[in-house]
Amino acid sequence: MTEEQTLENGEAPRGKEKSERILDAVKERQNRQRESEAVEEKTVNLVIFTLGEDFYGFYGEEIKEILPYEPVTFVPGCPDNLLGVINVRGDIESVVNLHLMMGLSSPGEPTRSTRIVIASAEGIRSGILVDGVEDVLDVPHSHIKRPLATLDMAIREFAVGGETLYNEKYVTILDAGKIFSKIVQ
Amino acid sequence: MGPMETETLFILLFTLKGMRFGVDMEGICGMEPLSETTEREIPIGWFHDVLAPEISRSDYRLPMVLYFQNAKSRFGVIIESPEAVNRQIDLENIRPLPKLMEGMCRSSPIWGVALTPGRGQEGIVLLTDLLRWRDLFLKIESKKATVASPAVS
Repeated sequence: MTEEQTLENGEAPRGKEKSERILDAVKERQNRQRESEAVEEKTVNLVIFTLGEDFYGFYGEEIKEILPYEPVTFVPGCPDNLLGVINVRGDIESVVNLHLMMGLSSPGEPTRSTRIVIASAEGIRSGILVDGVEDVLDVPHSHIKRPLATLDMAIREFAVGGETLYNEKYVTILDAGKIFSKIVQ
Repeated sequence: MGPMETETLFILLFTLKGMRFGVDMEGICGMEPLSETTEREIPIGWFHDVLAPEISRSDYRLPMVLYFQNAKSRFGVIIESPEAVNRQIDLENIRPLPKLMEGMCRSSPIWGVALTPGRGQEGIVLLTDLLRWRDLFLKIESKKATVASPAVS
């Protein structure tokens, strides 16, 4: 006799009832999931972007917005590290020339992938011109390695101290705060 | 007028090589085409010489001499023919320069940005203090004079 037949006949099933057995199984599964989550590694959120052919990243917590390119108004007398200002919904934001700061060739004509990322760090908020934003993703801590010893000094100055791989390309993680501090100096 | 009350700024607006500049109308006492000026008594300088060396005199379509006078000084500055005179700018449409430019602000004649109707760059006017401009202009002129006539030892 099957259990269903037993229930239809109004007889009490032997041992635990089916609903109890199901709930037990569900709880056990939940416990296993929680245990596995507890041992799961912490991750960091990264905004992966390009400058020329190279890949770089900012910590997601430093990036407030990713804007499509818009012409930057040059402000006479501003440092070479700054391209000028843009109007972001009524707020005037400076735009950093990161290419120049990193010792790369100057940004060419903007393309459809050119972006201005708005970063906030060290109490300073500013746009940073990049050639493209590739991805925003969570990366496990263990995937972040020490930067290559051969990393260019101009880049090392702004590197947080980590590198990771994205689509088999090295991504150097930069510190927006260090970039801003350098300009303010 | 108390700081909480609404204050307005009236500016003279001109564009030079794609950049829009605004100067406070207060103190401006006249304007005439550069080709017609006969003024020889006061210092007169090109606006870009102080602010933007990448601009040249040939970038001006119709250069005008703007005369400034207050209790302490009188001078002229050569600007591009203005596109607006006495344009009213409400305080709520004025922004300070961003923090990364603060260091530059201390010495630059550009002290802020006015937001005017228009998208992107068209809506951004660089507010310029003509007295600071004059101070820098006189410094540059004094350096030029020193180079031109070095002291005889």
